[in-house]
Amino acid sequence: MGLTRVKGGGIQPTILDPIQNLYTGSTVVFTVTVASKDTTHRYNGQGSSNGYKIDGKFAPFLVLTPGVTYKFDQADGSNSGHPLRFYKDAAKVTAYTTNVTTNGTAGSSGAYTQIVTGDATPTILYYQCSAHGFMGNAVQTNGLASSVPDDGAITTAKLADDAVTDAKLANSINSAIAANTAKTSNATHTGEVTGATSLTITNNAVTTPKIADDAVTEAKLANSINSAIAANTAKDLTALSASNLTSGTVPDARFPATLPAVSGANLTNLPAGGKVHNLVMNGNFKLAQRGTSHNSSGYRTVDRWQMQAGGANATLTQSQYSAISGTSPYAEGHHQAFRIDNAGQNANTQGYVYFVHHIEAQDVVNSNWNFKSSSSYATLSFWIRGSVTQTYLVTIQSGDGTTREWNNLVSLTANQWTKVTITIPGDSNITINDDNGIGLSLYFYAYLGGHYTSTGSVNQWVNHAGYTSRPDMGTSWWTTSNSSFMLTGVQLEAGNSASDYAHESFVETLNKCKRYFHVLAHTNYVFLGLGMQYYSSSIFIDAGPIDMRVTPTFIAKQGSSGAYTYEKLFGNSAQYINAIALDGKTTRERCILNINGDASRQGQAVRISTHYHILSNNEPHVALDAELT
Amino acid sequence: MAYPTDPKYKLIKSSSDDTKIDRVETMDGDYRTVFLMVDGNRHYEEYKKWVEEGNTAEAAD
Repeated sequence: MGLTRVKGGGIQPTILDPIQNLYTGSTVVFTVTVASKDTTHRYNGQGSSNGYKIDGKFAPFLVLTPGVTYKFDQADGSNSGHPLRFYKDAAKVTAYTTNVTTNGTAGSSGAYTQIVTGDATPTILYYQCSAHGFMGNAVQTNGLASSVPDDGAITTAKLADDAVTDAKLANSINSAIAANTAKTSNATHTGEVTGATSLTITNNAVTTPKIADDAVTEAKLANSINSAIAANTAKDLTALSASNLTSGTVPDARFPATLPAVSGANLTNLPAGGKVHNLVMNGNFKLAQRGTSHNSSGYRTVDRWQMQAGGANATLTQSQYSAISGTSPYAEGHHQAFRIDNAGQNANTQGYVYFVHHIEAQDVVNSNWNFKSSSSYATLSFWIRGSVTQTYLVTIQSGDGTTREWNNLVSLTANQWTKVTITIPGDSNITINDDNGIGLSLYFYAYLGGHYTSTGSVNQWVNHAGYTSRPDMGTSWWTTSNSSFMLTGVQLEAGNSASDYAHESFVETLNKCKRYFHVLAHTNYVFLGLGMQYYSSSIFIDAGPIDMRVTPTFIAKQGSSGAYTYEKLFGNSAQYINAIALDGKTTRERCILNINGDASRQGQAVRISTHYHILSNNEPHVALDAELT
Repeated sequence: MAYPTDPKYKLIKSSSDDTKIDRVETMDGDYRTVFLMVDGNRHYEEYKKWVEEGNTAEAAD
């Protein structure tokens, strides 16, 4: 075969002889151009229709001398878009870049790709256009490395069936197989599980713990599931059990506007029926049948409540107080309060002043509170305000047997309404009879002098002892001029938490309180009843049914002798008298009045009315009282 | 001193049998207060306590 020397040792393949080129130590430059392939191109008809020309020859097979730099000059404009690069295979699967240098843009001045080969260079490389197929040819480098790709490209697909024999496996793998451990142990398999027959997964073996969080993406779900989600059907919870809600709450929006019927018995902290039963009557002091203000102790103003005081040297006034607009209790619907105004007392350890309310025994016995059981509770809640910063005392006492007492100290900031809640358990030593006597008494002390207090225990049931069971409380309020003490929204209910105050209509409160105080005539000129002149001087008047707690006390305004306080009307003839009385035939169910008459009118019918008396502060003209002590 | 200051209670005869006493009266400011001698009435309970303390009401007219 002839030999054509190219440049610096390059050999045209068609004239290649098996001789070694000489090393010249210089750079050999090949001029590269691009032209349409013809039959002289090795890959004519395959890949691109264009091919490289090296020094004017279509894609010669080149023999490169190790150590020589071969520069493939692509400055010619025909190279535009055809950068020449080296590859380990003609199809350009694996690029070869070792000791390959590129410069500029093919088709532009200064553009070239050069390579220096050595012993480590693969024996055969291919020069090809990086953008088009089969434009170039191969070079022989005389290097020692294999041209077969060595970067892990021998994949499973490259291996013929049964090609990897025992001899090809490392001894360690064969040992493991022989020990039958690699195939059977439960050791975690860390590689990919591929192949149709190499490993199988038992049915139902992929359990929830085997699936990493968030591993199941939409793409892994069957289309039917994604469709159901999109249709918002798969998400609907039709049978949600409590165990499926591990945290959080069901949003309000998930409740229907109309809730299903729920028995009150199933509502925690609410009595059966869902209605709070307040054992306290007139707890927000809207009813004051006796009057609105008074300077004496006792039942004088708000119904069912009294102020008790002793040891005072200056005025203490109890009143129904209505100027609480804009306060927190007012916002809860309490428009009145029970109030004590203190003109300012001299220090006196035997002084005292407090509010007290007695609850009828049978009402406590028939409430939901099992007062004998320490696991049954009652809760007292109220709004309270003192004009002096100090501790105030609240005491709950049982009414029968040995008096049991629960004391609670309340710290108040001056002139600040405070909501107080006190939950008390039952106590086996409490006695409350099922009768119309006192069951429980609630005391709210503005002041209780040290004579009556000690270091008594708080927040537990103790036997009442007049001088030692109640704890010491603040004393400043007593001696502070123009100090005040107020209370409203008082509620005592069965259960261990306070419900919202059980507001009721005025007439509801009035009807309850009439059992204890019944007004026959609130003002002047009010009809009291019809009677008949008896044979003696007495006139008996049926004042009607009353249904009070006990046979009541009659309370009636009395004028001085000769005053026209009451009117007796015989036909159209009126007589006037200054006093009227209760007759001994009165019972708790019916009231009979008695008034001095006119014996000359024996047998005549007579109408009795209040006539005239100065009344102030809403005090009644004639009333009946059946209050507890 | 005399009723209603001292003693502060006065007995009242039965309107149907003037040989019997069935009521007690007392004055509370300008209110005339009359109660029957019936247990459970708080005014009668107070009266009994007052009597137990050694006091005596004014006799009935």
